[in-house]
Amino acid sequence: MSSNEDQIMEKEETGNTKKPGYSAKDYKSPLKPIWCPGCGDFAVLNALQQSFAKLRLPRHKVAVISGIGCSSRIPGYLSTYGFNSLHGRAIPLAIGVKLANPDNTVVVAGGDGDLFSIGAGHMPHVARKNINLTVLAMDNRIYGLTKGQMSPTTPLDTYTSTTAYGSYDPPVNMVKYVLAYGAGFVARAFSGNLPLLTSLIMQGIEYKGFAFIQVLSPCVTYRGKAEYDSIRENSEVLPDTYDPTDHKSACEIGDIEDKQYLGLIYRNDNLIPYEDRIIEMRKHAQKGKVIPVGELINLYRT
Amino acid sequence: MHAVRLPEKGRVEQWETRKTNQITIGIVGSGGDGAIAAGEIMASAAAHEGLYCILTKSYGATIRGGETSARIRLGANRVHSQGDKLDVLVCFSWKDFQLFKGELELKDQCVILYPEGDVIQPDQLPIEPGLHPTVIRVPFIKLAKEEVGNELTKNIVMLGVLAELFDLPKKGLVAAIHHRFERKSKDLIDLNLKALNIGSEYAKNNIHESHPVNFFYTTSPPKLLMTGNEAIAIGALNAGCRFMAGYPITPATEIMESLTRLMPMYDGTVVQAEDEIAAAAMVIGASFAGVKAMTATSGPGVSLMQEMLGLAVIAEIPFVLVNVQRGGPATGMPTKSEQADLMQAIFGCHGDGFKVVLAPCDVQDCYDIIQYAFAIAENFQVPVIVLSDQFLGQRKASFTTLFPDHIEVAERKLPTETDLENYLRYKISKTGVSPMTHPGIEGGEYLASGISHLENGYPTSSYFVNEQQTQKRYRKASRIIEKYPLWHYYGQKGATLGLLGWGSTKGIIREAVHLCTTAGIDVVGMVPRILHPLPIDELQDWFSTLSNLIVIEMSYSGQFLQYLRSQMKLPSTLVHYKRSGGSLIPLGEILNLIIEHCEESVTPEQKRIVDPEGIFDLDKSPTVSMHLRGDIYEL
Repeated sequence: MSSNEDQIMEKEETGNTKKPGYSAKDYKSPLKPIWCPGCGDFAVLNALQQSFAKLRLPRHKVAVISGIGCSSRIPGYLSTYGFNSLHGRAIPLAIGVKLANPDNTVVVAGGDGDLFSIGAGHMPHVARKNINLTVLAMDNRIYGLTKGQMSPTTPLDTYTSTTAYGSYDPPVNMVKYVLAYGAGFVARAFSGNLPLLTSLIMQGIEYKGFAFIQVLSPCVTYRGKAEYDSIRENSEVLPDTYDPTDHKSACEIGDIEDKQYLGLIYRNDNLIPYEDRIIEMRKHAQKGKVIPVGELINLYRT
Repeated sequence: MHAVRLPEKGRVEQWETRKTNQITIGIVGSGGDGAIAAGEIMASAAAHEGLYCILTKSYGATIRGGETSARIRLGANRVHSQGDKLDVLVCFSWKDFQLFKGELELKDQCVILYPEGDVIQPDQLPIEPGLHPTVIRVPFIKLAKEEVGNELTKNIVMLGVLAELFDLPKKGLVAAIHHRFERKSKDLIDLNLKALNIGSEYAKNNIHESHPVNFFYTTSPPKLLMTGNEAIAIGALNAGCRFMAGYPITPATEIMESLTRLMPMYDGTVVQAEDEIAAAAMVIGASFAGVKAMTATSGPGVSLMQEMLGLAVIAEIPFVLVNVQRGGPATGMPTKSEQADLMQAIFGCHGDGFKVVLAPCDVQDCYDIIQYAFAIAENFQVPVIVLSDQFLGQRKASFTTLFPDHIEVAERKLPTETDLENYLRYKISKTGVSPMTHPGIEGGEYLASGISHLENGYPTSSYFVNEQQTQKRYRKASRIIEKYPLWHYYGQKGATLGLLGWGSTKGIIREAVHLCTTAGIDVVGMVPRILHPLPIDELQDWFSTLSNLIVIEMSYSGQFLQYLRSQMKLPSTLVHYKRSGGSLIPLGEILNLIIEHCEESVTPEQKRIVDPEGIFDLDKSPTVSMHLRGDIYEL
């Protein structure tokens, strides 16, 4: 889908030679983002860097995995390990990274198209398996990198380059889907509210299990500058009295489509992460004598 | 009267007993008849008494019920192929037998056993006309029901009958029954031993007809018995693989099944992914994170993994993919063998994607090739495809041993401290390989990407850089061939008639060469185990010594020959033996081709040894085997 990648040249800025510490700028790479001025993704990048810094995560123990799309450029702008993989495949790739070494913090960054169209098939499984990843769904409601086609979250009746008479596909409600898939941490944030976004990312990283954060991240180029105002108008931060541990209320919040509630919508601390299940299974498998691998052939003696 | 001799003209009444040190038995029935279980017990029995055996199983498309067949070839000496025509057929259902048309052929003087109550009369058997079988009817069901007390044991009763009639390994059968049922219950063991005994007593007391098959052997120490898929699983663990992700698909699933059981013992992880795309992505992710990882699938799964293969190529991630080929395209024949994913393996990827393709040639080789695959993937940071097939993956074979220590366990090239001062993941190098870090290594942070990139991994659309990086990746090829001369020759050096094939066709190539050599017909066989990069120089040198080349493959469109043609000049006299998948290539047809194309005329005495009718006696001479380079196997 990255048809215009060939027109994008990325420039290196002068590098910082000081030994990295734990300030937000230590998580910055020398690459200058290709995003358009005003893009919501800048705030997500900023919030990620701040979250890593506040959590004092060593850069070499963080891997940010992405697919393809504007948002998926994010690993390149971070000084951590990164993988800019294939369209839709960030989640399964991140699962491999996490399970290979659960000590590392693994963050998935993707767009609405990446995570809910081409890669949507992975979402139910990563959620039910409860793999300890933090997924940032940077929702700009359009295909930006390919210049303005309808995405799975484009509102009805929107004119895009592939909907000449207005879009007629009802949009996906990310929060509702992910709650239904059994995710134990579901939140919604807005790139126009940096403190909340940063706080949710930090909570998501610290959560032991699959954490999903929808980030409303406006595309000013293809959805207009008015998108910021429209989100401000139609969104509201959840009140302090809201109890995110109640699944029923979370689903009610998820059902509401004319208003976008921001904040931690659902959190369940009683789910067992996949990695812990694997450790249990290994203990079970290792009961009794484990023969050296070289002697496995003897299992096949008759 | 239990045996009926079919009417015949001009034949002596008494059979001339054929003393043989190998026997091929077919067992056919509907699911529930226990044909496959009987075959497996027989294989286990044979291996227990030190016999060589190859067991192939064939199913229809049904999950339970439907036609099933087991073909088992036993030999005192090594057997390399499935055995062409059956010496013995046990048929529980003639209706099912007819569904295996072209797969289960009978020798002229074979022995047929079938249930006494069957409505089909001995002179109405739906077999090829003109054969002279000894037909014996046995009340399998009645014996199982009335004497043993459980109708389900009729297959074991049958094994008892076979053991008595053909001197099959009886002690081995007892051991095999113990082995098979020990985890279930003692009662089951006793019941089945009783069934075995009743079958053999029945044969002793009631079947007196002479028959032409006389199998003889001497016992030797127990052998290993496993399938190619099992060999791949334990070979992968031996190579240090500690992550596997896969999606169930026939005929590759047993690899994942074995690994789900074994991997956790060694602190490894197996994930059953939601689809093959996810499986491949997980493997790339795990490998990126520093763990040796693999997936196993069949052709349709590889189709879904194509994009991921391309990602592993450009991001230079070690990645091992096993394709246990089945009949294609689309759903094709999931339970049958074919060699038609060759082009997909070599070229199947958008863009110019350099991948390595290896092909094991027998069950033991599955163990070795998977280890070479990991060594190459890790040493050269490339995806390696292992092309097995259903015949290799699901057949059971017995052999003396495997060698766990003879293939180097490769470790990834990590950066030195100097490299880390200004770490460039995709640094242009002479070998094409550059040091690779993984999350957890301080100072080695980098961006892996599927996008065309600079030496540091950052995106670029520069023609110049892209050309350099593509050259870097292709530079790995020549060094791989140098370091891994994986091919076998069989037969007489200097012979001008050559046989060339890959993968599971090695079995018939090796046996054809062996029989020809015994008969004094000079033939040389070559089986490359590395198919991409192709050992062009080696093949070219060999071709220059040939006047005749026979290329053998199980691909209707002849993918192997097309590939060879695109890479090099072939001998001017070329014979192409090809067929679609589904039925294994019969040795007899290859022998006929050899007789037809050898330069000197074949004498009747030679023809008697190289008998395309399939009465092969491998005991006539020691095995002749020639390995110019590569591994040494038991000979």
